[in-house]
Amino acid sequence: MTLHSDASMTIQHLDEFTLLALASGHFDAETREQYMRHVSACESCGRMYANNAEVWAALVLEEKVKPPSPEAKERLFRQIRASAQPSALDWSLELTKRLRVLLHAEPILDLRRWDMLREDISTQHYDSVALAMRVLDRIVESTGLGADVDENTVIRSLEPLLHRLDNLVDARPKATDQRQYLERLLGRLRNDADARRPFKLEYTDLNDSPPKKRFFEIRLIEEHFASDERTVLRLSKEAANLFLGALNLEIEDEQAAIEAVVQSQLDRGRFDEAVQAARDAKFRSQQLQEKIERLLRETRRDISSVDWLKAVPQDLREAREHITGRLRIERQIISSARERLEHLEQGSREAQRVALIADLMDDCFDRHLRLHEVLMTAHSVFFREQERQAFIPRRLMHLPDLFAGVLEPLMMATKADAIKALSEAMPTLLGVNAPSMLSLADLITGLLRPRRIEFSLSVPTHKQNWQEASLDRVRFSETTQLAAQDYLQQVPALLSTLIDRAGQAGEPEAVLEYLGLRTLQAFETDQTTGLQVRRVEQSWQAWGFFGDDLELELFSDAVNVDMMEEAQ
Amino acid sequence: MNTNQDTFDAARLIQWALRPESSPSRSEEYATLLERYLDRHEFREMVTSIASGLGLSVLSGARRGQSLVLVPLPDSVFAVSVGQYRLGSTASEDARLLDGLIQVAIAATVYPKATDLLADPMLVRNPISVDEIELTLRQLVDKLEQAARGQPDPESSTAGIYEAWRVYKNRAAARSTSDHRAASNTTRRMIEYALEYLVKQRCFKRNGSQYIPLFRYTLLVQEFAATRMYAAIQKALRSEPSEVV
Repeated sequence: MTLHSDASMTIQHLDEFTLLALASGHFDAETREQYMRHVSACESCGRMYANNAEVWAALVLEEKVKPPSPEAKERLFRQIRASAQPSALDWSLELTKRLRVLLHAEPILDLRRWDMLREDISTQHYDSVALAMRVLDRIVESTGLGADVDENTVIRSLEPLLHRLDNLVDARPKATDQRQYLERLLGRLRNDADARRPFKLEYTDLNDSPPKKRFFEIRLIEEHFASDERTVLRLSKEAANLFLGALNLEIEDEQAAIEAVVQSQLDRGRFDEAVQAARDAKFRSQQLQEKIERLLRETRRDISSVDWLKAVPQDLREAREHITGRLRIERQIISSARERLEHLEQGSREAQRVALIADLMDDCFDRHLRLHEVLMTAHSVFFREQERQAFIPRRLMHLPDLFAGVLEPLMMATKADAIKALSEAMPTLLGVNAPSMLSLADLITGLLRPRRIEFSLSVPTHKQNWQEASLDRVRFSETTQLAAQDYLQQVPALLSTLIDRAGQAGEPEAVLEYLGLRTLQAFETDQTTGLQVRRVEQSWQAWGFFGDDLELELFSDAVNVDMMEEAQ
Repeated sequence: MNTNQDTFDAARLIQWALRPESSPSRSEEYATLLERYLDRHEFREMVTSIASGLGLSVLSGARRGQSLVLVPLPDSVFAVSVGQYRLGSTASEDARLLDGLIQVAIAATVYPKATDLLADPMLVRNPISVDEIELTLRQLVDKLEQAARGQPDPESSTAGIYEAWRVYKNRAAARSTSDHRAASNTTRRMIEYALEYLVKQRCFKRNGSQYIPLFRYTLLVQEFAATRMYAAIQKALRSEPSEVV
């Protein structure tokens, strides 16, 4: 049967073998013409025929155009069949892996675009990719042994580089602009703009048929809480691999390579390079330690989150083998470094570099030795945790969206419902608070404590002289009364005369009024005022006063009016 | 076999963990006990049992060099009550509601997406500020106000039917007193109070106007508060409507 039908399209096509035979010139002219008519009309068969013909031509060329034997033809057919499969044969898994490796550099290379788009003119000449390399380097060289760097330290270490770049273009940006630029650079490496989430990198997976868009996530710089209450910068494992040039290798292999490089550089006297390689080796051993510790920690936390069936035993086995090998190599490097040190001038730069290499390798050796002990007891951690966690209820794994699932429903709820919900929900966010308790010891100590010396903080005041004062308001002032007394001293006289004199003298109205009232007061017989007043049978009107005139004279035994007044 | 000394040490570790201001990096005893807690299964079990008896739970994400984080079990004497949250004041219903909303908004701003809760709690998250929280809440209020337009107005006299967002909307963001101080009952001042409270609890660290979440807070929210809050709210909102308060 040479033709078959496409079930979905109800079109008849030539089968694979017929197309192969057609491409190789297998048929006689008539049959060939019949098939060729179909091939030229059918797009699917035409494409496959073209592929086969191309491969056949290449093979024939290789065979030096000799007519192939039937066995050779069959073999060639098999080759062609294999190469003409309509799959992603021209795309291997290895290529996908390399593509993913390549894409890890995207967030760093994206800094070039930022350099071009940056609005701040004073920092436009900075090469952010180059500076990012220095950031990664600075973090690598300080990672571990409690010497991790924080953001400020990294920024300070980059400042000299910025000055060099400034000198290149004769620019003098402000220190604040430089600092702001470096903070933004670190922010970009941390992906601050996306709440420090991992970078999401997209690629096309051509292994799939049809090809699919896929993505993976990586971090570059992570800011961690350190044990000394600082926050420190560290490289993610992807960034470390990227930076140390080992993206497609396993940690263990990479460390072996690095240590081989150290040994080789040490032997050739290339100490500077050897120091750098030794630092890389130290970093690798620390990564391995962290990996194992993380596995054990996750086992303690939730045994189901770690694959103890396949992945972890394999990791532990590889780590054990790696460490055993590393310990031997590291001992060799340390001893060659010490030997080399004996032949170098004490205190020379070379000697210092070799001593540093020996120190770094010592650190790797100690770290591996400790890790070896951890690895030897790792399985017991698994068994213990399995026993412990066997009957613990599973954690609630639902991850709520705090905006859409918590805050928004709360805001939309009625006030009463929201208060009810929050009375239970809010304490979960506030942690714990030890209730205050009465402490008898504290109370007694407080009571027995010597009285505190009180420092006088007030300002001394002047001594005040208090004077007796009457609460009654006085109608006539002292001045008015004194002025009126002058006229009263002129008695005997008529009241009209006294008032007229005062009026003529330009005395205020109050003085005239006081003279009138004082005379009326004395007119009352029971009042002792020092004056004696008698009515005169004639009326009088002047200065606003009207009525019977009065005659004033002193009491015969009075000494003076003032004394009488004082007595009052 | 457990000895009296082991029991004493376990209780001592809980005592250290109850003091937010203490840290293993500043106390050798605390660091040693924490190390023992992390490495010794029996000791860890003992600490967990004693804590449980006291009405506390020890969060499982303990790390070397970081404080042990405790959380209260339901009805625990160690839970922070409204009275402890606002010392010396009898908070009104509205104030209690706003305090709660603000605390939830702080957590939601630090963890804006559900997947953020899966991150390593040792990773430092972006700092937040009073302005950011205020803006977040006001934007949400605006959104809910837009959605509520066209619907009949709630009867403001019936307190229970009044939605929570309206309480926030009707509270001024900022206002000064007659002696030119910031009024304490404005939303901005309440947010500042909430953040300062969390600073006191060593959940945040202040850096100028920025507040940086610390390990205690990231672990608290990721391991405990997020799911508990969600469950509490689902339970409260699914149940029969509350009586008018």
